[in-house]
Amino acid sequence: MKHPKIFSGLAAVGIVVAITGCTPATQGPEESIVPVISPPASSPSSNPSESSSAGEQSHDHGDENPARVELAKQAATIMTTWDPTKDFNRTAAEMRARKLMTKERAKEVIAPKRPATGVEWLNAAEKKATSKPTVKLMTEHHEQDTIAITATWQWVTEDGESWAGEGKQTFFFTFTDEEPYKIRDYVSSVR
Amino acid sequence: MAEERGSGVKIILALLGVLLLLVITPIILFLGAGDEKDSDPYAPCLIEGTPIGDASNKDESSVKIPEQYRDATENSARTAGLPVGIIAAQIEQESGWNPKATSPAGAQGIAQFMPGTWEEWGNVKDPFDPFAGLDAQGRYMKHLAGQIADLASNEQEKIQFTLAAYNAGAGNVQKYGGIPPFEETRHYVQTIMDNAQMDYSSDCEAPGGFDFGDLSTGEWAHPMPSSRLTSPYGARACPLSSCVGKPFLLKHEGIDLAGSDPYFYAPTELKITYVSVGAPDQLYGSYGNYIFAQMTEAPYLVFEFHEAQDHSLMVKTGDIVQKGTPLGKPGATGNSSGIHIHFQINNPKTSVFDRPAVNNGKTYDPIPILRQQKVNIQ
Repeated sequence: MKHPKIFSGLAAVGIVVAITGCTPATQGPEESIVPVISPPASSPSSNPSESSSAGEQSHDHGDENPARVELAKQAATIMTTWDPTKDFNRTAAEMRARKLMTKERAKEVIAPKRPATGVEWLNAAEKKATSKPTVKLMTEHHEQDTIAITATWQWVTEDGESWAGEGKQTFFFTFTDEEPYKIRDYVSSVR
Repeated sequence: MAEERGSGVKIILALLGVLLLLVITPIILFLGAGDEKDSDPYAPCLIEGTPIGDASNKDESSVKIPEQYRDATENSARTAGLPVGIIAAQIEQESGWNPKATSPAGAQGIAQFMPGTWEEWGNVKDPFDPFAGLDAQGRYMKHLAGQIADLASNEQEKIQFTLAAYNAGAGNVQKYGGIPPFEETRHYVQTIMDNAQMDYSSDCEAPGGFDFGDLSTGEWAHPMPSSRLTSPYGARACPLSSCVGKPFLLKHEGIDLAGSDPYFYAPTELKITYVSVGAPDQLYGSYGNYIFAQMTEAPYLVFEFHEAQDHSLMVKTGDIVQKGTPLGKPGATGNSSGIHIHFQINNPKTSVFDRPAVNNGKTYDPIPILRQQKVNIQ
């Protein structure tokens, strides 16, 4: 979650880069006698008394705006609901979610040239299955002003056969400032 | 008489020994050759004995490229000028090595060529002929690689841009000067790059390598072994009404890790080059408590750890820490709303010997680097 959100920092950057910009590409560490610190004989995590120490400054992550969370879940659900017999590729579902976005962002939803492929997609198409996603708020995500939603899915046929989809997709949404909220921007990851 | 009998026995034993050697040596050589043959460079990457990629879900962890397609895949890669793992991961993604695969959109065969593309590249052969498909794939990828070559500054980019051209069209790669900002195209490139490293590289080598040089083969330590990836490297959503002129808001320069770990750790031996001083530090509002460090050996990559808990940093500027040394506690300082650590890897050219600057060096996605060093990020 880093970055230069600070403009004052950016001003400093110019100065620092100017000063340090001549650092050799393969510059090694300074040659000097320095203390060497080793890992502990046993992992610190094995000490129960310390294992909760990170919680000392616990931050409540339940402060997201409920309307925004709901909008994010709705978008993630639409974006991972596919019908491989009709959808040319996975972006077709993103297209269907454009109604939840600002006009500017909706214009940027562009489908690639290739159709969707892959064993998962081909199998689902063969069985005329559609995806039924399960979406969850990623409470461990810590970027301010962003809501992260993780989607997984089942493939379901009309006669009730179902099987787990492969992988997951995590969406990171930002929103307009005023209600009714729109999705201002988003990216997603399949890792 | 007894001496003669004794020397006779010795001669017989010696002859038997020679015969035994003559019999055993070829067997040993044969078995040794067999071992060598079994060593598959395109087998899945193993971390702690377990395949970390797609292969972990399948009962085929030792051989990933079907034997009958191995030569054709290697030839295809040679033609394309791309790593074998990339072509293999593409075919896996396209058809799962099924030569009869047909998609509802009309893509056909092992490489899932669309009819129009096959007409141009199929040499009038059967689109369901897997060998013709692999051959065409190599020639088509070479063609695409040539179209985007001028945009790529290193081998890894060349591979990524070629994959993007395959998915989104070379025109779009040229238009955007790299991977187009299409979610599906980004995912395609990511998936193939990841699977080539995890499923088709027994030594876990990242396809295309890195432009900072070679990494040693030594294994690294996990920076937070029980953590989960909560924010990946790369593109991220604009938080403002417009990010025009603020490209730094659109890219996450590292990864965020959150979990139950009480500490975060040095992944390899590092020299601590800067330790922040808490709230008085100019970057505290953005970085929280942070550490800059540099590898003590080539390629001298620079590491950053941000958002550490207040008063938790356990090292000081100038320290040299060994692999696995706890550096501090994950926290929620800086511009964040929950406990985690921001982990970043920078080019060796990054300034590290004075107060570090914002974005003062090129950054790398840490995950392929960590995986190559046998650290898996989940």
